[in-house]
Amino acid sequence: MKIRTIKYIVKEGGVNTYRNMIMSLASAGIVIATLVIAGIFFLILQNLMHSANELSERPQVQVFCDSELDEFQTKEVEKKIKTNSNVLSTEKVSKEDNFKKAKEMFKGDEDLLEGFDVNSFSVSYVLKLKDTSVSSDIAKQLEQIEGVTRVNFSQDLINFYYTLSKWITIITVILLLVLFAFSAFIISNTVKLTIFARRKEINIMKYIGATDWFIRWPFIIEGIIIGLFGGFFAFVIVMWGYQIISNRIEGSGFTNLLAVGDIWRTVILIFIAVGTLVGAGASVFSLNKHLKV
Amino acid sequence: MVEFRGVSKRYPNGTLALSNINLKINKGEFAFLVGQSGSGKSTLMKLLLKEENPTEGEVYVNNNDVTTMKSEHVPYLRRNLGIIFQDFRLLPNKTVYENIAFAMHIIESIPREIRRQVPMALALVGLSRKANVYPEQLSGGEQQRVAVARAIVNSPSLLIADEPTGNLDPENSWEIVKLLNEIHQRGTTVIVATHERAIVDTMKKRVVTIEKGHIVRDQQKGLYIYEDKNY
Repeated sequence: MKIRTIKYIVKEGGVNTYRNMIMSLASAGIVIATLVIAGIFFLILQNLMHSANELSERPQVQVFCDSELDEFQTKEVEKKIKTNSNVLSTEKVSKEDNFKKAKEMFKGDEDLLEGFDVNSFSVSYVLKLKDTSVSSDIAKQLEQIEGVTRVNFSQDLINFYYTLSKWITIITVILLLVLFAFSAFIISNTVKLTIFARRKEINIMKYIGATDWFIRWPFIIEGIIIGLFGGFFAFVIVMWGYQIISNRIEGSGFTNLLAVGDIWRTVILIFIAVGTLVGAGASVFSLNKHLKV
Repeated sequence: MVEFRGVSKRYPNGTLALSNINLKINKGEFAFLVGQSGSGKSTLMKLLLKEENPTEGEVYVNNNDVTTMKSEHVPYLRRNLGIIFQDFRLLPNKTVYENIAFAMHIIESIPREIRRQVPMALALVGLSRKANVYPEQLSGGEQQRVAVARAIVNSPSLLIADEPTGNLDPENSWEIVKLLNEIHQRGTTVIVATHERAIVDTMKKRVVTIEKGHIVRDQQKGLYIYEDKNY
């Protein structure tokens, strides 16, 4: 295909979109509506996945050092803990903090702590693990470190978080796939309707001697323009709504949502990709039927 | 230029539209295909455009066997033909100028050539002043003249017109026939399918009469004669 023909085809795509303004706007409207609905679900599911990830990162294991250890020895223990490849992060809890916690725990029964002071308590480390399914193995490894007296972990709780996070992720992925298949179906049907309305035009082009691709390309360009336009506006609407809602929810301190800054790139990429690819793809497939002349 | 060798066409519903047609139209000829509605002349035109395939026989256009032609080559066959239809078949979303230029864009003509040829074709059909209007703003006669301009803009050696005056009043019909004759005078082979007796009788060209799928008469400087008893 010659450059001048490519230029002509691109121009045709643009001009046709403009001249078929009502159909173009109707198609773009459907793309926007579909992507907004899909986008709302997408953001809900993304936040669920985010929560699932946070759940799986909850403090899972607490390592207590010997109360006799000095600061240097404690640091050595910390170093050894960190060498374990399954440890994601460590957070030190000082003797003072552990003492304070004990006092809070036994509030009203302070006499039980009689005879204990700060030095009776030990330094501990709260660990986050990379893979929670092997917590018990890691606990056993950590118990072997010199200076460690006790390792606390609740396998039931860990298992619960792990299973919950796994299922949320699976369900989210399935729902997202269904959602995008649904969007693709709606958008492609709209494009099919647009093309059906112009089947006579396609027919005429064939009679004059246009090749199938010469006819297809301007329609593909139209599909891309409509998809881009629809995808962008759907993005603006969804992110604007998300910003408002997330501000309100954050204000209430209810939960920790994904920040707009963390998610907008993914959303715009998905919207524009779904809009343009489905718009262009649907043009190709729905044209075939009318090209057999 | 155009040849039908033992061509028969039976549609899937069992209708026999053409039966053993043998016809040759030479370069530079002007031929009318005449016959009543349903006689088979439109099927004959469809075979020329490879819109349909014959059940039997061979069809040659410009020395190419259309019967065995692959579908991807069909656009190239049609580009070498000027085609005019009864219902004009103009692109509704394009201006008169763009409709004619479209035929040149298809063959990837250079823009300078398009800017030169389209106004010439428009001038020939007397529509220079209507270049920027849309088909729906034109009368039927004007729309058909645009279709003629589009058909000749690439200077085809063969012009095929299927009932070109079928949707026009007598005055406009004559305008179109005069145009076709003018194009013929310039050396183009012209085949016109029609059932308008007055036009055929006045033009005194070759007349091929088709009735019920058979060629019943083929006369130079002929007349449109419809006699049921002839076969």
